[in-house]
Amino acid sequence: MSGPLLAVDGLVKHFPMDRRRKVQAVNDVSFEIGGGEALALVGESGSGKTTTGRCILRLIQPTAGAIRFDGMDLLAMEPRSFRALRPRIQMVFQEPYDSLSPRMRIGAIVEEPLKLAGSAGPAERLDRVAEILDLVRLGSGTMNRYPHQFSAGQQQRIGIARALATRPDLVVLDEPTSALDVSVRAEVLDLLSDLRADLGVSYLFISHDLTAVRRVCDRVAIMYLGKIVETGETEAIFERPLHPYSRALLSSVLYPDPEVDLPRFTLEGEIPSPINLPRGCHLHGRCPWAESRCEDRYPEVERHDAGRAVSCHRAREMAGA
Amino acid sequence: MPTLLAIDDLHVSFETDRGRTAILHGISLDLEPGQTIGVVGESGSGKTVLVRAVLGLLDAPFAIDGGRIEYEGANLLEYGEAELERIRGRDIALTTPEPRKHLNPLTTIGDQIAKVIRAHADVSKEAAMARAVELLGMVGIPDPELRLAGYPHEMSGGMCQRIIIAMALAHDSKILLIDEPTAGLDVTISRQILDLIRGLVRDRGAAALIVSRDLGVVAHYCRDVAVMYAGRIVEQAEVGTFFRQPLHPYSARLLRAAAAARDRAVGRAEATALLPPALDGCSYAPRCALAEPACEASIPGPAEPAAGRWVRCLRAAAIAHGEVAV
Ligand SMILES: Nc1ncnc2c1ncn2[C@@H]1O[C@H](COP(=O)(O)OP(=O)(O)OP(=O)(O)O)[C@@H](O)[C@H]1O
Ligand SMILES: Nc1ncnc2c1ncn2[C@@H]1O[C@H](COP(=O)(O)OP(=O)(O)O)[C@@H](O)[C@H]1O
Ligand code: SF4
Ligand code: SF4
Ligand SMILES: [Mg+2]
Ligand SMILES: [Mg+2]
Repeated sequence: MSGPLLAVDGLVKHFPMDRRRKVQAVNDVSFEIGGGEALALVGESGSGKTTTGRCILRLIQPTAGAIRFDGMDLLAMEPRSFRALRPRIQMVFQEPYDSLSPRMRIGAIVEEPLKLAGSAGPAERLDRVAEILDLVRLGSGTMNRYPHQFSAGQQQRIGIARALATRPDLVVLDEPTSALDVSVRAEVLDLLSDLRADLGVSYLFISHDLTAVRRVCDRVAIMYLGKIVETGETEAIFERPLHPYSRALLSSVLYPDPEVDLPRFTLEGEIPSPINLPRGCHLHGRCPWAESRCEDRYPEVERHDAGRAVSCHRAREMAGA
Repeated sequence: MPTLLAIDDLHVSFETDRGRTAILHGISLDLEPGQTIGVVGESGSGKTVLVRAVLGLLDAPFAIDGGRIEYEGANLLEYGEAELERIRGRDIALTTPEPRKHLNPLTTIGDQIAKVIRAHADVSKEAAMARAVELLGMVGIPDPELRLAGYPHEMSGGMCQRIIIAMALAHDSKILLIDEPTAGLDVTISRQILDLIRGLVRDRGAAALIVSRDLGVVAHYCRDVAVMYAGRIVEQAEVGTFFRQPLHPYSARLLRAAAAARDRAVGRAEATALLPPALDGCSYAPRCALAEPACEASIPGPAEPAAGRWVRCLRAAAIAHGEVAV
């Protein structure tokens, strides 16, 4: 395959509220994910991460933009051809319970995408389900139980098992670790890394769990109010975030040590809303570096070295600060 | 300090087609005014079951098999539904880690919050709505007036979570049972919400039980910590000493995992986290590097190997005295 596995270009998603207003959830978002690559999408709650993921799965129709998967135009595709492609693109949903149908047994839930893919017979499917349940360490013995009999963290692993059953090329993982305790989480993260190494699967890893992101992902894209404000290689971004929102976000991590001081770089002021997007740079009302041009004009994407891209009028000037 | 809430030897089980499974095996925990206890532990260890039991929210096939939950001189386990309704959300508030499951998809956010407010306050619909706007603002939701007209499916995961937290803050409750407040929230919003809870506890003499998988939250926002494993509290301590020297092998492992999560250079996770707990003897034995034959023979009771430290481990005293390393 030449070119990226997934290319999202100029994605826009607005949800109408009433005749005058709309929620501008995603505003011109572009990124690419290569085969076997893991890209993290992090950012403020409500900044449009899940909406972006749902557009890729065609669970909702974008307002504008293009999404190409393995060279094919996903949005222009007939429903039939998209269904045929679905085993190759899977999603792990943010709220595990919500996405598991309460009346189906675990075995049937995990088997469903295999059935839809239609490539394996019943016996082969059963083997695969048992194998994948062992892989996420729920054990094949759980096959006959129902979702409500599991805790949230266990349900999250059921969702991961279901998404991986068809050996997809791309998995959108929406908060895959939010209900896992640290030790189980560490193992699930290793599992995700192994699968990537073994099967070459790519991830769009949506998460607030920055330490998980650091462990699993090659690159990071940081969103604020429907836009990507900074992208770059994971380590480089964690070590030296350039955009003020990235700085605030990454320095707010609470380390599991009561003697480490609480973070320094914080944002003050009202959080603006995607219903009334501010003029100019979306951060200007809260940004300690804001100047008058920030209120007038949304900053262009500036390319720095090593694939870093930042949207901020002052990032370059402040890079040394 | 007088105790606000005293949970004593609470046993809970669950009935399945294959029989009864014990889920909580004798939990005891006291909460004082001004205190914040962080409850951490394995996913599935019973944290959510514990906090829901306090408010009588476990329906069949869950069963309470024994214990007391004392609040204002009464045993909450003996309360009927009407008496529980009177204290739920007013005296004792609870948040859920699965917000969407607990919001009504067919009713607006505003109506749902107003209903919570009016359940215990004799105010007009308008006054309740005004208070709802205020509460949403407190949890960092921008344009709260406009959001009140929206439905749960129009909110992001983190917004639903904050709506649930806003509801729990509606009545200045004396006891806050906060289950996973920050899962699904970005760190800056998380901090804002934790600061809010801290303020309520500090300024109003409330007390909070914060269930969190995030040891960072516990380290910075709780005074004490209780570690749960397979339905038991295996260690309880003040936060500072706990992070300096965990005494239970499972606690030590949790702290190592949390430290490792920060650090890319650290190798793979210790691959035992997903082994099921043992049913006889110490439930942690199958995963414990320090296990000895005695550990499989009997269930370790709580002991105090060092002042103010409660641990369920046969070797806790040796660990506390540095004779074995965890
Ligand atoms: N179906 C919908 N109808 C109307 N608005 C919606 C809908 N889905 C999402 N939104 C709005 O779009 C914005 C982005 O939501 P999204 O779920 O993508 O956020 P997110 O970045 O995933 O946040 P979180 O981290 O809290 O999950 C929010 O303002 C949300 O209210
Ligand atoms: N409705 C249920 N039916 C059967 N078992 C359940 C149910 N809800 C929870 N459990 C079990 O109870 C235990 C504790 O769950 P929970 O309190 O949700 O864990 P957590 O510590 O992650 O909050 C788990 O083993 C879980 O599988
Ligand atoms: S463009 Fe201006 S307001 Fe926006 S982040 Fe940069 S300095 Fe701050
Ligand atoms: S009692 Fe034994 S098995 Fe259990 S935690 Fe202590 S040393 Fe490990
Ligand atoms: Mg989301
Ligand atoms: Mg829970």
